[in-house]
Amino acid sequence: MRAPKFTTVLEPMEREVLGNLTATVSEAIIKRAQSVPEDPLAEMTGIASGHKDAPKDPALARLLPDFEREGDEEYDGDNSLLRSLHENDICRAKLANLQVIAEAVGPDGGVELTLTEEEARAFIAGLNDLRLYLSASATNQDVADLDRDSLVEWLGYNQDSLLTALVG
Amino acid sequence: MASPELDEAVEVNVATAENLPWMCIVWDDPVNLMSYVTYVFQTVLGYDRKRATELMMQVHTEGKAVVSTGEKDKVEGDVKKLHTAGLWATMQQAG
Repeated sequence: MRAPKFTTVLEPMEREVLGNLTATVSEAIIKRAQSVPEDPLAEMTGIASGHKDAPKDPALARLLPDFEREGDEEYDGDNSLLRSLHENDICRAKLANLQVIAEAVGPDGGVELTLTEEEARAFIAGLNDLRLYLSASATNQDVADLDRDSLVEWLGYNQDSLLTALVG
Repeated sequence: MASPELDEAVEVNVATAENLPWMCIVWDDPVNLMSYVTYVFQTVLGYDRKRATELMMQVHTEGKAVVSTGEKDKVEGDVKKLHTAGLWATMQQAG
């Protein structure tokens, strides 16, 4: 029995836009992960620790939200701790998803994409992060503001059709 | 003087901050597709399609929904997985 495959055909321009956007968001996440301030305790204990504060860039902040909502009556004030414990893992998982898109549309990829089920799931999650990032970014050097909404919509169309193919 | 009966089982439900359950809340987000949110509730939280769709609709119409409850560690893990998937989730203690 053959494993299910998911295929789609992109216009060369679409492939280029998707590739550029994936690279932009991946770089932003990598930059974030590499800019963790030095923490003497983490170095001493060897326990990896991430950022304690939310990203200042609103687009990145949407990808990496707080664990607790400030202003809640039950707000526990654990945001810094929770973020430093989990942000690195979340960044790593998001980068792995984006990597699947990058490889599918990368220099060696064709305009016809073929994905396994596992790749399709990563692709869907990666597309979601691209949509979130675009929507939350104040300005984006790759995309004129006017184009942004239609790009978010186009990514959503791709995400939704892949999702339909996957789960019906 | 009567001495206190120590053998008597006394059940006390102490509602301290220590033992209140935690809740994972998902907030409405104008960008995430309804089909994707339903899919995430199924794959990340393990709900069947019917329940996942109900929760998605609750988020959509009421602005938020409690999608899981339990010990802090468990809820913390759920929030982490939902953030990884791109949903806007937070955790708070019931009360």
